[in-house]
Amino acid sequence: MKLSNWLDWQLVAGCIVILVAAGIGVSSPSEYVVQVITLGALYAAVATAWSIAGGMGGLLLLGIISFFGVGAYVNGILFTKYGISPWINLMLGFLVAAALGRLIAALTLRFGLSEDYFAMFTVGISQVLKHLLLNWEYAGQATGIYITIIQDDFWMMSFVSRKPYLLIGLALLLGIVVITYLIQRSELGYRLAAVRLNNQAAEALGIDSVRTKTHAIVLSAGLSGMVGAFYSQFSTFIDPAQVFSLATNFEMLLGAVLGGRLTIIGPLLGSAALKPIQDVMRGLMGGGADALYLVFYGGLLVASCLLLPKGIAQYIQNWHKRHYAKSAPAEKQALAGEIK
Amino acid sequence: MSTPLLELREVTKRFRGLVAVDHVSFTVGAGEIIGIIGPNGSGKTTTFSCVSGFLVPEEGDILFEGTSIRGHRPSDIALRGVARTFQVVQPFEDLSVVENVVIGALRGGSVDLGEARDYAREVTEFVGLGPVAEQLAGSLTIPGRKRLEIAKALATRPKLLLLDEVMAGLRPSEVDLAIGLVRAIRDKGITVVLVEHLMRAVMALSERLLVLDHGALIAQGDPRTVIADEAVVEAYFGKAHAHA
Ligand SMILES: Nc1ncnc2c1ncn2[C@@H]1O[C@H](COP(=O)(O)OP(=O)(O)OP(=O)(O)O)[C@@H](O)[C@H]1O
Ligand SMILES: [Mg+2]
Repeated sequence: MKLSNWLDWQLVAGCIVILVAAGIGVSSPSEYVVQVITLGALYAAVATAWSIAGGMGGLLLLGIISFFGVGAYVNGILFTKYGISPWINLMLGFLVAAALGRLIAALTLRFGLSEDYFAMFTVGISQVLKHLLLNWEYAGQATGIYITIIQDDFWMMSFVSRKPYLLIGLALLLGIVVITYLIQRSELGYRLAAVRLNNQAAEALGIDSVRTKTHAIVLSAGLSGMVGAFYSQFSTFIDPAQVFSLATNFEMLLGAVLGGRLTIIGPLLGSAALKPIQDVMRGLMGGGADALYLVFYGGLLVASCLLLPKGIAQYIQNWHKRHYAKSAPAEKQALAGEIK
Repeated sequence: MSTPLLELREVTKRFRGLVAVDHVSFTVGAGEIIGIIGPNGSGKTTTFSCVSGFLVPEEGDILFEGTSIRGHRPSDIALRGVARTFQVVQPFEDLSVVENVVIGALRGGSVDLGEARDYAREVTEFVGLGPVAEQLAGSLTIPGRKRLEIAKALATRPKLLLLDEVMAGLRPSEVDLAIGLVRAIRDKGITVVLVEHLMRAVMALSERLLVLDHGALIAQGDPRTVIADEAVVEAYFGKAHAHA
């Protein structure tokens, strides 16, 4: 682990940001602050998970909320109907969402769906799921699912205080950040870069681009599902409109794009920067203005794709390069360290 | 007779009305260096694309080590041991030279990353890109890009290497180096099929020469005999010339 290496530096910086957030949250007397940090961590966690497929893999996996929502329902149903521990449901949320990702990959990639149709398909799936759940009586239809928490029970992830949720949320985020770091440094990181940068050249060198993209989608999907499963336990209430909301979907993506989807730290910082804006927006527009958010975030997403294609993290990376070029002679950078 | 390394049987590839490759049959034995020549648009690149799986011929069959590879994914064919370069070079521009080569050396992910890194460095040195190994691939000059194209393909540890005009755009001194490089590759036991316009390089390297014209294989055999062939002269210079 060397700070002069951009990947290592990002991991360390990410850990520090998460620790600071934990410190502020734990010491804050305000329930509101704890709530905001926890939600911010969850958005950042999904944004980071998305960046595996959406950043490293260069895939327009726009409908990330599908996996989040499915994960939320996995815990919602299994916890309330069968009393299964949310800790187990995090894993099951991962598996079910990953399976959905696998299915979407199978339906789109082998048939060579073009990029824009792939993007639309993934968004479409989220709305199909929303409507399925709106009509599924067992899952509460439009009323959704309420989770009642009466007393502290660690095994059932039930806490009267909000602070344990904050810590679990941040731990999830940390876990996902570490996973993206490990992927960037691994053989999969090279395969994803190859497929993103030149699909044809990758195939010519023996990289099965369909298999590689499938791996990325499954990982992004599974991790988002895990976060969704935790979200339902934390919020104690889910309904289809909320966990398959396109406004939330684009808020999450915006964090990743604004922050820099090719980096580890980008989605984390982007989400953190966006959180206050989101709250102001919600305050200005009031509840139920989903369509307005959508226009706003959609616009912001397009603008940041055009104006800041590599995100805020690009500036940090440039600084990092200059800083360590001065203090140490040309250090060999790992894969993503070279991505301009 | 032992099975040839590569065998094309009546391979035909059409683009709408145009027959780009027309019932082409030939074999490549292990250890050979074979040259393919032909005027622009005669189907040389299309033949390579059929062998490497980027195009699927409508008719005919392609066998590698005796097994049909027709319709297989390009990545699968590459892992079986057929590597190709692209006439229009295809570097991963945002990665360094050696990282480009690492991607080949990973053999689709079956080789451990550390091992792939070591091998990539070795290959990068072998093709003469050692001094620029850490530079971004996008910053290379034409000869450098051509070498990188060869290095990526070599890193996959192929049995058969298809080189598509790797000498185009090189200066004479660079061509000499490239000829040396192709010989060195063959000396490693890799079979080479070489598409090249530059006759000096083709004649220096080829043990056997194939000539394509309008997608059809019009001559093959000993290079000196082939280039004196009437049909070949005609294909290149027109009828009048052939009878002159
Ligand atoms: N993808 C394609 N779609 C349609 N036509 C194509 C395609 N690729 C090649 N062709 C046509 O097929 C014919 C053979 O092309 P090919 O590229 O194989 O020739 P070549 O011998 O490699 O020529 P050059 O020496 O210029 O590289 C040409 O007429 C070309 O225009
Ligand atoms: Mg050609």
